[in-house]
Amino acid sequence: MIGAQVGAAVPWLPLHFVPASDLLGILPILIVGGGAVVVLLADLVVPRRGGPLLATLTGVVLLAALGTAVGQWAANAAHPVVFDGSYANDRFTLFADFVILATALAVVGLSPGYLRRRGLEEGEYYILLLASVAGMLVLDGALNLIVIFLGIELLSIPLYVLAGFARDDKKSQEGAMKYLLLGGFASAFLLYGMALLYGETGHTSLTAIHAVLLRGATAGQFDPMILAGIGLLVVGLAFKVSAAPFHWWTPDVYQGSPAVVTTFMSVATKVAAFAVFLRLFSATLAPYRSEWEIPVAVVAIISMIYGNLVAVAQTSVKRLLAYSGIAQAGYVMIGVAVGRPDGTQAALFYLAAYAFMNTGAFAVVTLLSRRGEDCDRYSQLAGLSRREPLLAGLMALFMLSLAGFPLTVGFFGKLFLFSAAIHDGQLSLAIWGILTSAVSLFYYLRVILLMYAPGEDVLETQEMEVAGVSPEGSAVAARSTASPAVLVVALAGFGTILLGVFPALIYTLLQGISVVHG
Amino acid sequence: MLFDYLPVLTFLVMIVLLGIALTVLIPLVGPRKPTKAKGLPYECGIVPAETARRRFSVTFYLTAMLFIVFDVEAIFLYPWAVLLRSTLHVFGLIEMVIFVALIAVALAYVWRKGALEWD
Amino acid sequence: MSGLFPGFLILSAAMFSVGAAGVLVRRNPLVVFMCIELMLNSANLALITYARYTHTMAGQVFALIVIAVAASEVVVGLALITGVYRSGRHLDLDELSEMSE
Repeated sequence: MIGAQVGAAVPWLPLHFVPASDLLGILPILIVGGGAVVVLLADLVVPRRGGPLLATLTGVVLLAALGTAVGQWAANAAHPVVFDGSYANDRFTLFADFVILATALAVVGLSPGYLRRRGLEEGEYYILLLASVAGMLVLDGALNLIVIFLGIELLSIPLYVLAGFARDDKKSQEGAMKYLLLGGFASAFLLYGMALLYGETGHTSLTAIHAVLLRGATAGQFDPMILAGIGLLVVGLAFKVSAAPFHWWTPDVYQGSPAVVTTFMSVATKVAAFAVFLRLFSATLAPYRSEWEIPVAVVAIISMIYGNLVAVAQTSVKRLLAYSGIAQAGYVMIGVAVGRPDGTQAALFYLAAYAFMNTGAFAVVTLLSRRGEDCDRYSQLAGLSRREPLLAGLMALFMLSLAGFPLTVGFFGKLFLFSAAIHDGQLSLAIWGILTSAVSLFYYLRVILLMYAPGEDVLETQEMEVAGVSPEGSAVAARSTASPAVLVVALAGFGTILLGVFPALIYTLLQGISVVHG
Repeated sequence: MLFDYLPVLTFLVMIVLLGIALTVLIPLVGPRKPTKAKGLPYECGIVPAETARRRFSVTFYLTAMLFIVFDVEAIFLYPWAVLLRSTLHVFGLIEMVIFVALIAVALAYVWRKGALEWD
Repeated sequence: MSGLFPGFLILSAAMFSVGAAGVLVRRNPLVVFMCIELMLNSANLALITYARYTHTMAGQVFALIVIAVAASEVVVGLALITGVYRSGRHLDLDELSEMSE
């Protein structure tokens, strides 16, 4: 509007200034991106060890973005597509924004205490976190291949650094290196797939690609180069959501990264990557559904089987959650394979449920960390119920929810996905889902039994002495100093139960959401 | 149905054949007249001063990394410079000022953190 | 120009395959990293070829953005590799196995 006025006054000024409505449409991204710059500048002026201050600043930025997203949801804009059809700020995007921003807020709440305990208090942590969140927000509303690629890289590159944030820890270095090399490998596949898709349709806009594909598919013609492109896209995206058989990086990266980074990576990245997965496959590539339906379903089934079976053999909670994450990716892939609005809604519900239970479970691991290391081995969990009854109880709750127990949010997450698959006539997906969920009970219950097993305290104390760490360095001391972290765990637990009893609180929000091009 | 994928197969076969042909043919067909000058490592036309297997200070890497980032940002300036007067006008100028300001923030950060100090 | 079109595409596909094979076969992280760059650049070549073929600009813009993004990735990669090197370890991916069980 301002542009139009100035343009009228000054003849050589073009009229195509960015309209205010476009900027409004990407306001959450602008807030988070601008916030990253502000935090970066603040890091230069605040004295060293200004961690809590930067954490507060980061929290304020994320809260502002979350508030904006909520406001936009309430306002329910009539024309959510902005920037010449390259970004959709529709309800699908906003819902993904909520989950991503809430997870990031939870991680910021966990961070100051954790970073202090592990001696990693550097301002760069918060800058990279915000940059990665900005990438996720770009990704979940992207309507153009270029924007998708930009979003994926903007979320990945800061994460590579964050994974290696514990610079002196060999595991962290190693995790970061593997994440970088395999992430780059996946990006290359994704990019080549996009190149083929663009070349054969002549467009990078998803709306235009959809139109071209629809014309071809109704005429019964399936372009083999486009099929090759779709295949490469499936590989690249399956990598990013850590679905089997493209999951190799996941366990090492999850175990090696500092626990707060793993929390963020496991939940928020998955939400953003699945948002683009759903948008691409349920909307843009829908005309080619008959061709990609079976490969996607196969990836889903392999992920469910592999993730759940290998998780049984783990002895580290972080690795357990990595393999369980692979299995969860398989469950959400059911939503992609179903494709219709109810599949999309079920996938979104599951992602929201996953955000609560997985953030909670990782947050407990974060709280158990000691000076210099994460305590995620099973032996370190033994007898936790006596040392930390509250944390053990909450951890048990998260484990039950991940297993899909009734009265937890995980139950409804799985229920909606499986029933969507059955409605779509894909019985095999639902059957494999139910069978593998039964297997998953075994390893989740094992963690609970460990925490509540009697007479293991001695072992724990001995181990601590061997490691040369005094017991007070652990959660007891941590809890008194890290109240925001405890608040995060409690909220995650509250959400897990509340939504397990009243799933409609979120499910009604999702009604009517479908992935469209606008 | 499966016949539709024939072009993809042809494509793959051609790639493999091309790869094999190139690796086999080049040593066979190409003339080989090695001289001492040809055998020297190529350093943009400059006569190499010493062996390449020498240890570099790690600072070289840091400088190289910073150089890559700031160098590659310059590629956005070329299309911008071509189009500035004809189509972009003040709008383009404002966009580029924002872009350069962001780079300046990065430079300030690098400077302040001491990454430009040689020791 | 149209006569060269399949040639460029085949070249780009060959580059992509060489890069992918290199990532899977080589053990030195620097070389693996170079192979990933080769894959990204083969995609760039495909993008530019297609841009010429379809008479659209999007492919060229895409390629410019990919170049910038790849540079950022290189910087992060080099930093991580020097980090591993500084911690006194051989640059061999097979030896980076602190966590395998």
